[in-house]
Amino acid sequence: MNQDKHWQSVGEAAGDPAVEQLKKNEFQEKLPFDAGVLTEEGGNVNASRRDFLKMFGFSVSAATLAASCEIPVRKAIPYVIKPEEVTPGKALHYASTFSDGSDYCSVLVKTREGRPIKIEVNDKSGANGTNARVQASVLNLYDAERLRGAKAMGEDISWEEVDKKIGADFKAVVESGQEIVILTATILSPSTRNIFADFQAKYPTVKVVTYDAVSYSGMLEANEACFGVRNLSQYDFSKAKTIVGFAADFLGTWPTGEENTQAYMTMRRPTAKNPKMSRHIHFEAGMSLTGSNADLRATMKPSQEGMAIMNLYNNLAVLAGVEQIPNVPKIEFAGNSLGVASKELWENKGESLVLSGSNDTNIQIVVNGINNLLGNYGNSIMVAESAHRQGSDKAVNELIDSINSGNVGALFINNVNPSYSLPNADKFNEAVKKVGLTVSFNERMDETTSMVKYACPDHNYLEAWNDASPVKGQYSITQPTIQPIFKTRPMQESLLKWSDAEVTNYYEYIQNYWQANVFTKQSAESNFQNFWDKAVHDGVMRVEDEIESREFSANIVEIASNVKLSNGDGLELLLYEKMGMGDGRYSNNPFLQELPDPITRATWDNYACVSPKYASEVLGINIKTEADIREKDVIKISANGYSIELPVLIQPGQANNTIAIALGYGRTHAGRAGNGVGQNAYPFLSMINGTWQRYATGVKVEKTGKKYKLALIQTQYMLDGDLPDRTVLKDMSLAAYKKNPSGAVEKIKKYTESDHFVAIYDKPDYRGNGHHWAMAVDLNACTGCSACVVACNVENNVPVVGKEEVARAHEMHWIRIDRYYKGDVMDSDSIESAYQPMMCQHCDNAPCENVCPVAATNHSSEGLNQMAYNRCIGTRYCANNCPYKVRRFNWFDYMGADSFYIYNNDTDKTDTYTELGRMVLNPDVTVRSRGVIEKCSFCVQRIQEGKLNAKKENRKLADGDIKTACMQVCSANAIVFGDLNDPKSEVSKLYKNERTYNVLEEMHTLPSVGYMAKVRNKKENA
Amino acid sequence: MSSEAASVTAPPKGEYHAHHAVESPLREPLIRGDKDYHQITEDICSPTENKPGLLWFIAIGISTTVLGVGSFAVLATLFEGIGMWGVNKSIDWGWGITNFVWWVGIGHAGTLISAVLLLFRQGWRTGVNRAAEAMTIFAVLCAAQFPLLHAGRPWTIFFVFPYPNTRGPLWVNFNSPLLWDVFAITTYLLVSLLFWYSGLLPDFASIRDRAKSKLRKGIYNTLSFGWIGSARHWHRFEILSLILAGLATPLVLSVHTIVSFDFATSVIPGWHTTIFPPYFVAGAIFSGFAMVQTLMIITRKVLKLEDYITLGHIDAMNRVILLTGSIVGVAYITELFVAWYSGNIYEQYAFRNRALGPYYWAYWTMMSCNVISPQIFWFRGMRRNLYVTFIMSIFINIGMWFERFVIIVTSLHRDLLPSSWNMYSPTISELGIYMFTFGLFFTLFLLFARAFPVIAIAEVKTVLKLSGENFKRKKATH
Repeated sequence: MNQDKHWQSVGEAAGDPAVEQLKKNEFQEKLPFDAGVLTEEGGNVNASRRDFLKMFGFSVSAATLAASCEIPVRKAIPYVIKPEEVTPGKALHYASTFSDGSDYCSVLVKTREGRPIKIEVNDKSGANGTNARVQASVLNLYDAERLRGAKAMGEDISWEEVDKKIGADFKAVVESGQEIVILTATILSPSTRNIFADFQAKYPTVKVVTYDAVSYSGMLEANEACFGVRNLSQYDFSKAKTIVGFAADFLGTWPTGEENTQAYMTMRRPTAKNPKMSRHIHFEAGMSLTGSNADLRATMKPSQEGMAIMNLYNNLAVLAGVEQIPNVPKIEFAGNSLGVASKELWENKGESLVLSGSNDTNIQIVVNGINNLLGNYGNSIMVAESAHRQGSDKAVNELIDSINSGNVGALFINNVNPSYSLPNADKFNEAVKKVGLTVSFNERMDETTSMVKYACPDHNYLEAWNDASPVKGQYSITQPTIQPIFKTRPMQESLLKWSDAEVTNYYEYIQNYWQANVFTKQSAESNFQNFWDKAVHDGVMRVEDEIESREFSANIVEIASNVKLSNGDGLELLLYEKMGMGDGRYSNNPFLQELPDPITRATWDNYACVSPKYASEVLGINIKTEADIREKDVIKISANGYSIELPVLIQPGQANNTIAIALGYGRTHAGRAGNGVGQNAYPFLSMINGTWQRYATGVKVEKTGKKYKLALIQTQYMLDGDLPDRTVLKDMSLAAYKKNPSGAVEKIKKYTESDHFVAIYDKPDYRGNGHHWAMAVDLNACTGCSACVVACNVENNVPVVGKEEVARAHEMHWIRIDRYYKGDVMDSDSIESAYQPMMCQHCDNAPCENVCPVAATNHSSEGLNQMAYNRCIGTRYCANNCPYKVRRFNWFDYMGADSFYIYNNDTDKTDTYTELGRMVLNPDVTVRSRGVIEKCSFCVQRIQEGKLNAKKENRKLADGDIKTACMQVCSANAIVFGDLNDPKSEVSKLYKNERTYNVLEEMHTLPSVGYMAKVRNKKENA
Repeated sequence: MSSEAASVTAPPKGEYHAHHAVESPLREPLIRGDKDYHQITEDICSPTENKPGLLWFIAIGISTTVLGVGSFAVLATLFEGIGMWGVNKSIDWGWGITNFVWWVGIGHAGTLISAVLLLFRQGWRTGVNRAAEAMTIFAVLCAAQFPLLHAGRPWTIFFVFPYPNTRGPLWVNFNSPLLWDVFAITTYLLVSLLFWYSGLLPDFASIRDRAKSKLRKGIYNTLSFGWIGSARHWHRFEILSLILAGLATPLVLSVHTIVSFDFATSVIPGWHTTIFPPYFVAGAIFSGFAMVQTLMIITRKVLKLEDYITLGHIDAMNRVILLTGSIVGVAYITELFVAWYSGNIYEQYAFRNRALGPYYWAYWTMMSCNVISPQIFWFRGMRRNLYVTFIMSIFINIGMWFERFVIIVTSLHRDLLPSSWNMYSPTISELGIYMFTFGLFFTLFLLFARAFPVIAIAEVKTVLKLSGENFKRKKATH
């Protein structure tokens, strides 16, 4: 043995073969592995090095993953019925129906990878567009403040448990013989109504009380009195040549606002060949969306409405030669407008409409009388065929009395929030405590649900099956587009379960109902399954429902003597709904909170609108300088034994000595976004003749000396001084239009087309080759309804920034509706308003493009002004140099995963559902980071999609294939998008229209958005 | 020691300063008192060698505090975003760009004094050029903070440099005035720095030669690039000075011309004005000289350099202020005239709004500080009154700041579409960043005053034989 050799053990030194063998192994000792895993058959062979490394690699990386890396939480949302055609990256559209008791709309739900991300219009329904609330509704689905399961006394409870408990309580109530009341919002669903009927049939003590926060009781009861049916009428504005409105917001917040707008606008498109349009005369106190679109608008105090309508009746009675209403003091408004209205109505008998927003039954009966005198029934009005707004103020009041007298044993609350929205909510809250069994189906722990014992939250409409029949003969289906996010259950199923019905599945119930009631009314399909599939596919279905002819019968003269007369002295308070907020049910939707009111341009608040005259003369506000400042004076308003403090907003066109306050604010249990925004104005409603009137008299105002910052998006309002000369908003009267159709735009055209108008650069050559995307906006059609603003927000992932940021002029909207007034600011009757949708003008000679040092914004070969977000360094030079001020800068990280919830007032960071709100984001549109500029892209993702689809189908792109989000939702068809290089496209034709001009045309920016001058139906030349 | 110093740093006895051969008896002497070469070296070098006085410590204490507090605003902006500022959807530039243009303007006097006056052979520049050049560089450094900080994504700011890259390569947009700014400002900073530093070389050598510690000697030797004062050194020094002066002179005109292009080439009424280039240059010189006055009046007092920065210097600079201030005044009035004469309603509104709109106070502050108050310098007594000069210099700095504020904010706040009209007011972050640049400026200036010769020793020596009392007496006795 070599003496030099070192040995480790005696065995080795002795040359033990076992030791020799061990030496050959890398690891001499047995590796500590589980025998089953790594040892081979026979047991004596250890794991190889390879196996070890495999094991080692796996365990280390697994441990690292588990311990240190944040594994994204998977929130998989499976399909209810997995569509076979689902392709990642491709949107699927499902026909469905939005119906919440307040609005109804047949929609297409756009889903991506199982997430509903956008509500679009269902063309099959015949509707052009939706309203802002329907557009924003997709975010309600992802509202983390919705209830996530059943609750009993505020504690989480399983559905089985709650069914057991409620079942027991319910049985006891049934046995006691006490009344069982379902307090519900207006139900458009025939199946649900049938469930209620079944319920009533089974338990005779069941009563269904319908309650609308913004009640149309007066109108309903007037129709009942005149036609014997308690329904709203359907108005056909496309048949009305003269429209006279009394505080009726029929283009705005009425149940069918967008349908009305669509029909109304068919009569408001004068052409050079046929320069005719309907004439709209409006009387109102506040500046409503509808009033602001009128041709002739006169201010009228709310209490004078009855007298004004009776005067109109009498004027027409003289013309018709029928009996006048006696003892009505004469009243007339600015510009002799009541006289003018009478004359023009009579000239257009049978082709006119008189509408009133009053909730006073007697007043509405007189209005019916007027329409009857004019022969409008059967022509421009379909009698009482609408199922919208069935609420009864009287029934709700009786319910409270009934509870107080101990008659009610069970109260089921469905989709209404009386504890917030009832003017006498205190009384209701007191009463609710006396009911043994109280259940709420509301989606969130709102004011009412927090008063009741059991919360059994209903699905969101995007998670549920449902149906609706808004008018006779029209049926539509709501189908689920996503598996319920939370442990919610349809209200209908809860009721079916508790009443031990045979069918407890609501889907089956609907099918059964349709088979029995709808299928039988049609003959096109003979197989029910085919009929059903078609109904679900199309979303809407028209069948022959028999329409009864109804005769008008009412003694107007006698009924009119009950109308409360007022000489209109003293300060009056008007309560109204805003376009975005409505009755306040969607307070927790940040899109709607941040949607600027079309008229006041304020977000995230309600306020006291007063006339400029009142502000300067009574409140001592300097109206010349106040517009610049967002800090407004706060006043204390008291009426009907209730008082609130609100900031003053000076509203041109507001009737003098009136204050207008929006309903729907001051929620306390709406959620993080809605709580504490504004003040609740519902308690100001006055009960007159058994219905809630949306005004109050005997109002007192005190100055508080406080200041409050309003998040206004536009501070300036008047186009006075030299501003009308600017090429911003061009308008003319119909009389002038008849003489010279291009009168409004002639001056600017003369200038920009003259030889004096010299540009250094050649005209860009985008026009002529390939596509040139462009837009035409008809200022005559835009009512200002702002649905496009929300549609754009949802489509393009436009951030919500919150009140503080809006108040700092940091809002991000890509499209805005500029609102301008003309007239003498101190004379509210002289105010004319106009709306101008303003988005990126995609200038062919864009001032923003040549100032960007890094070429982050540039022009596409198709005439689009495009943004390369990841090239943008954020100098904001482009935004400064944009004459239209449409570029928006990401001042903070509004959309970041860590900060999204801050600006959206979403659930806080510790919540499991922190990122739920971000589920609404459109995956086709980049989410912009902090520090970059963004702006309207003409929905470039839709342009790409349209082009790709055409290419795949091997055809030319057709006009109308591509619709931008704003165009798609516009009920008025005010926005038309298309290819300017296609001479046959709609937009090319509109570009050649004699009314078309470009905003700031003299800047030679060559915008790709053409505006068509507004025409007002005025007799005088102006 | 002193003889060596004199031999190394005094210019050679050539005739290259021929233009100073005779000083008119009518002229005010450029240096006061009986100075010799050694005395000059002593006077100017001593502040760098002795322990600083209490005043200096107080001053540096204040300026570093301001710098420190201001840096919180800088950090807040970097971490949170531009949302920390008061700028908004209508007024996208506010204090940030106002301060930028203001600081760039202040940086103008240095080059003008050192380059243009050198070419025009104005002997009086020797007393003030060093400090003015330092001020220029520090002001440009302060100005440079704003384009960086006001960018939404400052970490991508390198996109503005045209360099070969892997993105295509993706070039910058040569049409953008902001890009021209990048070139103009960097060129200006570079040339000013070179000019300033090359002038410092002989003076560093002087300090080195007087240094007592080895470390100090080593540092100043490195700073002086091993200057030994040979004739070849002096020759190259003179040539370099002339070349740099030649290069720098167009820059005096170009920098602010290009800064004015940011506004002049835009389409916003109130910005889109052809008068802007000369108007901005005059304004920049105006504000630059005012800042030099502010600093010089303090420096000469604190560092006891009254004999070198004389009332004659102050007077001369006040004349420049009077001239440029009046040019600026004419420009303001021309703008109003052109707005009226153009018949352009947007332009007319913009200027009416400036004078009478919600920001009228800014406009009238600008008018009174820049146009009305400098008219006091028509009087010799006022020009030579240190108190009046000091107060006026502050007024002009305020006025010129408001000029930029008026141009930027009042033009944007009510531009073309009335729907977008808005108001702007700065936040504490913007105030803090402005303070930060003040802190930076004064800290740098105070450090400069401690470590560098604040007056160009070698250059002052060139005028000594003409201006020094003892030399004049000697000449007279000959």
